[in-house]
Amino acid sequence: MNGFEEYFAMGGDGRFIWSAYAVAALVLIGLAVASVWSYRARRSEFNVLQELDGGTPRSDDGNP
Amino acid sequence: MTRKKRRLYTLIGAMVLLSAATALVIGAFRDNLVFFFSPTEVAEKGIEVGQRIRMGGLVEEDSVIRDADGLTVHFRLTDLSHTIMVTYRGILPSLFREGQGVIVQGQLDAPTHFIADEIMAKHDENYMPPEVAEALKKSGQWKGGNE
Amino acid sequence: MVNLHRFANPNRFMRLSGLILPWASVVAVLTFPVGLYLALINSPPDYEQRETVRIMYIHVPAAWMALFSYTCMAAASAVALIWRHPLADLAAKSIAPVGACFTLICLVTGSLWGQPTWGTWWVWDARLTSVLILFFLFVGYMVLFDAFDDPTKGARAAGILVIVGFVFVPIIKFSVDILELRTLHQGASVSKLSAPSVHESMLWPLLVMALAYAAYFISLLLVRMRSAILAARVRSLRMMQAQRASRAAIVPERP
Repeated sequence: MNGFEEYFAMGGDGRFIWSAYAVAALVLIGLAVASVWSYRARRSEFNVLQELDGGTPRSDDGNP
Repeated sequence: MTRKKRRLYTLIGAMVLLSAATALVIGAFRDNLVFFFSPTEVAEKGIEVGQRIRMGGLVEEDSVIRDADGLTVHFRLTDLSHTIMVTYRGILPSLFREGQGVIVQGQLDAPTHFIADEIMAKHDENYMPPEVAEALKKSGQWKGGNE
Repeated sequence: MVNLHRFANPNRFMRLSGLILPWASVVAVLTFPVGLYLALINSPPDYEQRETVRIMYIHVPAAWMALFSYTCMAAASAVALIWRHPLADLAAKSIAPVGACFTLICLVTGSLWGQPTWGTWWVWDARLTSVLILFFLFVGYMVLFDAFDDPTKGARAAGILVIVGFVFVPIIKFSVDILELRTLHQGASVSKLSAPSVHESMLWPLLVMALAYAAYFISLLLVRMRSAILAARVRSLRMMQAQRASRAAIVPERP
């Protein structure tokens, strides 16, 4: 455990380094999740409307 | 001339004018955009006692004296042509050491004595592992400011 | 002149982006762990900054990508303003939040790096201040885009803002070197490919992280653009159905 603690302490600057990485991860993951969610929502909305329209639902590119 | 062409030229013209205007403004305010003065400028530009400024330079070798209270330090700040004595009370940044570039913020209390209330350490754009720095110093290829 | 409209066709874009997107996202998902491993475990501490140098691996690529995003956004806005491409405004609008996030990461990690090394969270020097302005430009673009009832007006106003703000990008990039503005921020380490002033053992993690950021940027840009195209199609489908419904209500179909 000592090795681990020493590693996380990063020579005393651990709190700066880990908070920097945490902020970067939160922002990048947050934006990615939000973008993918809204994309999925739009796509299913589009497919439903297409079906109502009588046409076969097409996702345009064969992508799942 | 088609509408597209006209829009293109208008846009390019506006960008050129805007860039020129910005360049002129920056040129005019350059002295104010400078983040700190060098000791030479402080000595020659007639900075008045009591005027709040930032001054940047190197901490002279063998000039750092720490008082017994453990908080107050005195050192000489130099740009290799002029030197100004600095006194500071507080916590020093971890990169502060002799030979290192620093920026001090505060005021002169005599023409060659500066009272700092904040010290920021500058560092250069060189990054390398300690062993490499050690090897460079040994082989005499060291180009950095501090030994 | 090449027929640019050929590439600006939304159907073509959907097909093309559908092909590129899986690859870009796979590259991003694979390079981030490798970059993190190199940055946090497999790279040495700096001779002077010791461990805090590890913040560089997320800070510097974020700064690069922030400037790159802004350049792309300005170029797309210019194309939209001059040639009125259907996809250009959409591209610029999709880049804005991604660029804002890169700039935010650059600012926050820079602050967390500045405190232990310089001894201050923030200074109003030319470099730091101009990155803050860059962040405001991204946010201002997004706000302005949605501020008008007429979406084309919003797009035009926001596009003009971005192009006007574009004069800042070279200032940010070169404020330290060319204008010789004295700043607290150091100069660029990787400005020349021949001899960057970052040691090899630290350059690799930096470049892998930069690749990860770039792949992330491409993936998100494509996802967001596809999303916007689908939204437009949903709108037009809704409109068509509403028209048909009202027509049916007025003129009942005969048996």
